[in-house]
Amino acid sequence: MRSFPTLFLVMLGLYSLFYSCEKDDICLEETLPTPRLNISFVDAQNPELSKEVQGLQIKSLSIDSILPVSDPYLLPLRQDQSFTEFEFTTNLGTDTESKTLIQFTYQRKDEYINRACGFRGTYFLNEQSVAQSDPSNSWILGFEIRQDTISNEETVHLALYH
Amino acid sequence: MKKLCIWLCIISGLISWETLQAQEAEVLPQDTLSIKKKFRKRPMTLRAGLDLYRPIRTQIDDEYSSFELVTDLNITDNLYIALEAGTEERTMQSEQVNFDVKGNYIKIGIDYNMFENWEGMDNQVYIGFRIASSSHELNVNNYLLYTTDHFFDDAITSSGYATGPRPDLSANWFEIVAGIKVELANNLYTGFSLRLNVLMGETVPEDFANLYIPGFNKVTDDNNFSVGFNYTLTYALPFRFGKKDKELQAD
Repeated sequence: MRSFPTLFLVMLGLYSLFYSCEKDDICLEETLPTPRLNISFVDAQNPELSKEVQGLQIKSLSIDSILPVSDPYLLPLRQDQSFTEFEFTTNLGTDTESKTLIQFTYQRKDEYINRACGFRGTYFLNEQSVAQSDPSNSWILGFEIRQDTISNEETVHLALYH
Repeated sequence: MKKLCIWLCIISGLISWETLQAQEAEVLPQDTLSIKKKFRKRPMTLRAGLDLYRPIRTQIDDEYSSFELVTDLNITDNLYIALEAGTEERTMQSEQVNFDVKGNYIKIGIDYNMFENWEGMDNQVYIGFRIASSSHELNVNNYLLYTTDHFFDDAITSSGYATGPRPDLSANWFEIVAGIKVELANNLYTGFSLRLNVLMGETVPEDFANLYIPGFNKVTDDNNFSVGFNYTLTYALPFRFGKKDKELQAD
């Protein structure tokens, strides 16, 4: 009988503890996010060798903004549509400047991670995934899909020949 | 015939009331302890009512709709079989995911009263447990993909992909209950209870999780516990069995 107020207080304490001290749902940094497309520029004569592009600029025309230079080149893919276009420029600001527009088409599948992070997407490429506006006059001579499932950003998914 | 029945009922009620009164009168000269014991031999009582918090919140909150019926039956002076049945439907935003949850639940268990009433009082301070189970469904309305890169504007996925229904789900859990019930007026009670819930089993939805279970409430990733409460209004319907009457008369 005398223990009931104590018990009730304990329950009330537990209750408020659950509500106030509940751990915040923060997505841990080590959780893999929705990946970007990892591309690599390779020598057209010797695709095993990567070849640096002089004066490279990658730009999205749809949002009119230039992708910050990174190494490796990670291209974000749009989630509101099944393709993303980028304009690739080489020898920027010189007489030999050349531009080409490449459209990347992909499929996406989303998987549930946890409460804090929600869902993560995985992209899938196929042979028709890469299309250039004018391939015959482009400085990018071809491509090779190295990995058709884009689930992390660690490995090269696509090699572009030049 | 019907009239006769009613009269019989009233008369028998009066008789039993008389015998009770007589009983008390008889035992009065004895020591107080036995008075208490005699008095507490009370009829089996079925109490039924509803939770008040849920319908009120349903009125205020557009994304919430719930209703819970509660009932208990005393099997001895201090032991009650308790049952709660409810339905809940709500739309929730959990971090980046917006989903609907809809379902029914039932909880059954025992309450033990620890409060010693004075003569004429009928209040309870109780602890107890419930075994509960739900039958529910979820629907993912929309979500933002977990992305660390924000070059393009974040795009809400609101159709296709992982959105859509997750039907035929269920869960079962155990509740530890502590609560009070106070008699407001003759046979009318109000009660409040707190519950600590432990999830025992669940059917995990395909490519999603039971982030919320009707009756159980919020499910966390870290552990199997959750908390709940109800605030009830109940009405008691006392009834007697022949055996109990005989016992009373035999005393």
